Amino acid sequence: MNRYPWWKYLIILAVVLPSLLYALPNFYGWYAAVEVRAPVGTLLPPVASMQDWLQAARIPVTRVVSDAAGNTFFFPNDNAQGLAETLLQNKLPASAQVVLSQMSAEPDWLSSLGGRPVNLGLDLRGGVYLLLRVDTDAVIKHALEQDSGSLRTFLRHQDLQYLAVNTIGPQRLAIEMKNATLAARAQKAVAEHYPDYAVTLQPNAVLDVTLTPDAAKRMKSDALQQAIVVIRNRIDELGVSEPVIQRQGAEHIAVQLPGVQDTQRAKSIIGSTAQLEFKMVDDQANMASALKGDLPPGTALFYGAHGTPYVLYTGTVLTGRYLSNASAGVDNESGQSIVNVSFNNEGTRIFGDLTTKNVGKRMAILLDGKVVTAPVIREAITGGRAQITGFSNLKEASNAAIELRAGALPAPVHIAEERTVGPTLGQDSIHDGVMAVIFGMLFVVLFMTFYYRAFGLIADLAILVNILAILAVLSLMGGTLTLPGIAGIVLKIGLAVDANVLVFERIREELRHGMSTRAAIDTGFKKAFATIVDSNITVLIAALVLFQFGTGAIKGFALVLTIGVITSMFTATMMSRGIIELALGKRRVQKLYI
Amino acid sequence: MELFKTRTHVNFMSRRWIFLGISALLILASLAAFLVRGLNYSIDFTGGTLVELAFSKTPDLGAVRGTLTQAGFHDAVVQTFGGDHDLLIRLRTQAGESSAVGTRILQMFQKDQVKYPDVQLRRTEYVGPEVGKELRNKGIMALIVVTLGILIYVGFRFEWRFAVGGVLAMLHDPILVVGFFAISREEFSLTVIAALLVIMGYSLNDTVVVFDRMREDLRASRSGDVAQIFNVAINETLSRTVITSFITFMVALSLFLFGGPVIHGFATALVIGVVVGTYSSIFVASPVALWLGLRREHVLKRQFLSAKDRNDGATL
Repeated sequence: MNRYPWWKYLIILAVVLPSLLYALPNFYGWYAAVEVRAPVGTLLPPVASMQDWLQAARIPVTRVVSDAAGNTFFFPNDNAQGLAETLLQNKLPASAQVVLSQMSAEPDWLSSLGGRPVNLGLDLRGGVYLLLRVDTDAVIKHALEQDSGSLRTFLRHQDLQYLAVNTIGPQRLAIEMKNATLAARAQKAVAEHYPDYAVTLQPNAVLDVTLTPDAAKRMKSDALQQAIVVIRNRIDELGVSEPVIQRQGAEHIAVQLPGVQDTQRAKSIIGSTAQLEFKMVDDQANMASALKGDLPPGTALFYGAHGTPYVLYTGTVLTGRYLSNASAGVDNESGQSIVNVSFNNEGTRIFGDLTTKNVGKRMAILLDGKVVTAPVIREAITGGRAQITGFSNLKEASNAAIELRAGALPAPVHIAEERTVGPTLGQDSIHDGVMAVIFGMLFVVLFMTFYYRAFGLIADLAILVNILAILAVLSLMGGTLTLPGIAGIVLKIGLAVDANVLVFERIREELRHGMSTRAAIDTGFKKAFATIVDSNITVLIAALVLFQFGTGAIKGFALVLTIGVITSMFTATMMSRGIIELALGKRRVQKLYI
Repeated sequence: MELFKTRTHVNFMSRRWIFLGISALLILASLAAFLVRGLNYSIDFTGGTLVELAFSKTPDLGAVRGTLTQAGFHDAVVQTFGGDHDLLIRLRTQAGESSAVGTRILQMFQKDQVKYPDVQLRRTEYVGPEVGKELRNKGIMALIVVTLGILIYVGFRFEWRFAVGGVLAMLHDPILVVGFFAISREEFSLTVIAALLVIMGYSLNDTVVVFDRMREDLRASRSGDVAQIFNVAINETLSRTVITSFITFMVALSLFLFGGPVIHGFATALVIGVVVGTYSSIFVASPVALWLGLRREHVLKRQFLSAKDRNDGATL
């Protein structure tokens, strides 16, 4: 009789079948594809004419899929894909996004069941990884500057006479009041009106106004969140397929751009603050004395792209916050590269008032503190549209337009870490990794078959299912397979057989002690089980810690190891046992092939 | 096939002082190498810039160095990587330097089409100084947390003398691997840290199997000769230890031979780690437990206690 209960076979099937099914998409490979998308409000030429271009250039196309977002062209190889990208980029209008992408070649029935191949990490796919540090201190500094201004207004409005409001630390202001009575009253009023600050009364009618740690933390966190939104918008404009943008810790943002090769452009678009400001030019100022540092009150010296100095009033009259759209183009008359901006309702009103009042004066437009252009206002502009000239080429203008559309970053960002993997290295790594898996697997399979004969074959089957289960879980979880992750699979092949070895050695031992075959199998599995759990948990601890502390590729390794430990405990015990019992059936067995 | 037809009878415990002595010496040598020579840290930890370029023909290292020096990169370290068509160029980060350096170097070589036709970018890496420090701290933290986690687990599952022996054996292994990296000047990168953690897990995995059997045998046996029982247990599990270690060693070797240059350091650490990990579970963990005075009663205690508790409950 088969002593293994039927419900255990059901469990085995319930694990093995989905593992096979969901590992399957990984074996279909990828189609090289190019996506063509048009941002909202722009149009693409008809698909037929794009196909004509490709045909004329003798680029083979296997399939074209059109949907609301645009068209996707499939190519038989990477070479055709690359050629097509260049061709389409040259022929299509600048606003169109041409994106290289990889499409899974799995059949439709598989994808309709939710099957999909595992994501490949940047180290295998090629692409750019950026770790950005958001300068959150700048956010606090900015907030403090603004609040010290508004505090003065507030005190004046409340008739609380003060002598001075000074910044005395990175998160601290001091208000000198006229006398102690006023100071006491001011303390109450300020504390009530500025809940982000802790207000304490100091000797000599001085109020200490300190930003509370909670408020500072919240501001920093908000800034980071906002920066993520802006960066995501910008990357969407760049046209990258499957970008990953994640918050990391209190002030870092990790960005993964698969397939991107033009690192420089990606970095400059993601990294620039894109703070658009409009300031009035002080035309009366004497430039010679200004350059010596003798500036009229309320003005400051700013520079243009080629080092041209401007004396500008420090007050910002309008910022990029009031923009509703920005697009790059070429001016019909002058042939210059320009950015057309349009303002939202409030911006239109402010800009209209401003230009009405200042006809004949010059207004400077600054991007990240640098003067882009400083045109003379010829007439009142009330239509809410303006044209920014002064870009040296169309590329510069379209980069600026992307940044302006996506909005300004709340604080400057710095690149803390950057890793670029070229496509050839990624392909080599996949090849090397697969080779290591094949050779590792081959060795283990041959050795186990040779050493444990029939039982060895069962162990081989267990290893195979184990690898497929790792792939399936990784695919379903949306996990990422990296080169160290592949190394993890290879290592796991070795570690996973340990459980089988433990069981088989124990069975042999019991047989030597003269136990009957059935009893030996039973005892072998039972006695080895506790040991298998104990010994796997130590590896699991290491894997989990690694997952917690590791970044990028290392995390992929930890993930594979963690999944592998869990799946191997199942395949080596329950599944192996099930197969053995099934094979032995109801027969009386005299000799085991072990 | 069976390597161990009959049970082996090697007396491991009688020579335990020799093995402990060897291990102590190796640990001292490793620590000395680590302290005196230090490790050849990768830019993961030091911060800096790394550029890997693929040339269409074997490049002249001297000429490449010359080109770099001319461009003002005086501290550039150039070496071949993987095959001899690939070059690795490493720069230490100077304060205020940015990730743009890597791109500049690439463009510099791409411009000189005559001397370097068809230069291809394999990868660039830039790690800012603050990140390098953070990664180093994270690595150290991870090692500490794994040690504590395993200590707690083994302490909970086994008697403390076993736990101490197991953890000492577990620490023994990464120390020797680090010693190897200090002596060989092999690059010590983040993936090597990952390998160290896995080695710790593996080492203890191996130890736990032996300990499990020792505990079982101690409980079953009536003799008080712990050393003798340890010997029996080690011999009983010897076939498993040898087979598993051999298989793990071979898969690590497969990674070492075929896994490619990117994970070379990782594979190197694993290959060494498997060897020392196997050694330590037999020759370090058990002798230490014995040395700490482990007796049969220690592993029986828990059973007695629980039996007594049950009795108390029944009589009341």
